[in-house]
Amino acid sequence: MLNKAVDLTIFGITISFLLLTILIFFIVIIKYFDKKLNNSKVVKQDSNYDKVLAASVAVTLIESELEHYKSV
Amino acid sequence: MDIFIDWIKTTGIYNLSWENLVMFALAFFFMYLAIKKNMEAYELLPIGLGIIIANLPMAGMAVFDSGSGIHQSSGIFGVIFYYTLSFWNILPPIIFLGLGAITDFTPLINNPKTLLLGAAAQIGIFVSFWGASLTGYFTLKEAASIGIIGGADGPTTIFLTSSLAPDLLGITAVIAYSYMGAVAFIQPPIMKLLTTKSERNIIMKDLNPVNNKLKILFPNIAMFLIILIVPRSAPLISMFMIGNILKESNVVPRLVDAASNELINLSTIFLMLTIGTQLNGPKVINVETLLILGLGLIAFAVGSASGILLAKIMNLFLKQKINPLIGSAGVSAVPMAARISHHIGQEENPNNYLLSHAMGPNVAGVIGSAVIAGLFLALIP
Repeated sequence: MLNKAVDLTIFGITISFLLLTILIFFIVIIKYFDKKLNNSKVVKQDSNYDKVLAASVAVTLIESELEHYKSV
Repeated sequence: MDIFIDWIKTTGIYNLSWENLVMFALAFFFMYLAIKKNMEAYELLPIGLGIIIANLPMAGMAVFDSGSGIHQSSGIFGVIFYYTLSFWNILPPIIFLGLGAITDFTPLINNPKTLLLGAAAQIGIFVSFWGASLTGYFTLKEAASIGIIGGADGPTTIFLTSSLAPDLLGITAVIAYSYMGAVAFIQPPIMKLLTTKSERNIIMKDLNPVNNKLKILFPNIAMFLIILIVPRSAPLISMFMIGNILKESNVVPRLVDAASNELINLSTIFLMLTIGTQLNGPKVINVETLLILGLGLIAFAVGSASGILLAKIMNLFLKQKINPLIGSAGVSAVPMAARISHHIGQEENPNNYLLSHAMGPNVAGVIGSAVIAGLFLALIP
C-alpha cells in the first residue's frame, strides 16, 4: 500500500505540474499569435494612413499650383 | 401500559445518545458561524440543519433502503444521497458548471506562470494522503479522499469521496468546508512566517485587459488538453469549462444566469443538507474522525506553504517579481484565499492591490485539484 502511495504521490505531482506547464505554453502561444494579429492590423492601418496622407499632400500641392496658375 | 411502554421506545427521546447531543452542539456551532459570523454561510447553515435532522433518532430522513421491498422505507435525504452522489455523483459537476459561469480567467491569461502556484498548492493533498496511508487506519481509497481536503475545494472533495469512500463523505465534506471557512485563521500565520516584510511589499504590475477571443480559446484548449490526459477528471473539468465558455461567448446570457444562480443554488441546497445528514453522531464520533480533522489541517497548511515557497523560488529567476502572498491562494477556497492574500498585502502596504493577481493561482488551484481527483479515480482501483 505504501509503495502505491509513493508512486501515486510522485506521479500525481509530476502530472499536475506538467499539465499546468503545457497550459502555460498554450497561453503564451495564443497570446503571441493574438499580438501578432493585432500588430498586423496596426501595420495595415498605418499603411492606409500613409496613402491618405500622401494623397492629401498631393491634393494640397495641386491646389496650391492651381492657385498660383490663377494668380498668374 | 404495554402500549405506553412500546410508544416510549419509539420516541426520539428514548433513543437519544450522547453522540447525538455532541452533534447537536456541532450543528448549532455551524449555524452560529454561518448566521453570526457569515462564515461559509451557504454551506455551513444547511450542513448544520442537516446534522440536526440526521441526529433526531428514529426520524429516518437519511435512510436509504433499496432491498427491503417495503414502500417508503427510505428518507428524502437517503434517496438524494444515493441517487445524486453515491450512485450517479451528479451534484458536484452541476455545481462546477455554475462555478465556471462565474469564473474569470483574465488573471491567469495575463500572468500564466501563476498556474504553477496552483500546482504547487496541491502538494498538501499528497502530504495528507501519505499521512493517512501511514496511520494504518485507512485504505488507499479513504486516504485519497482525506488528502483531497487539502485542495480546499468542496465539490471536488465530495465528488472524489462519493466515488472512493462514500462512508467518509459527510466528515470529509464538513471538514473541507470548515477549513475553507477558517482560511482567515489558518493561512495568515503561515503567510507571515514564510515571507519577509520586503517580500510582502512587492507590488505587482497591473493586469492588462484580455480580449474576448483569448477568453474563449483558453477554456476550450484547457478542456481538450486536461481531458485528453486525465479523462477521469472530465465530469468536473468539462462542466467548469463549459460554464465558462457559455459566459465568455456573451450570446447566451439566460443560460449563464441559470447556471450561475438557479442551478448552483438548487444544487447547493440539496448537496449541503444531504452532506449534513451523513453526520450521524454514533457513526462519526470516533478516532478516525479526529485523525481526518488533523490530516485535513495538515493538508491545508502544507498546500498554503507550498504555494508561497514556490513563488519565492520563482522570484529567484524572474525579473518581474511575484508577491509570494498570492502563492497561498493556490489552495482554491475561491475567493476567500485570494482575499486573504490581498488583505495581508494591504496590511504591509495599503497601496498594494493583490486581489486580481491572487485570483490566478486561486482558479489554477480549482483546476489542479480536479486533475488530482481524476488521477486518484483513474489509478486507485
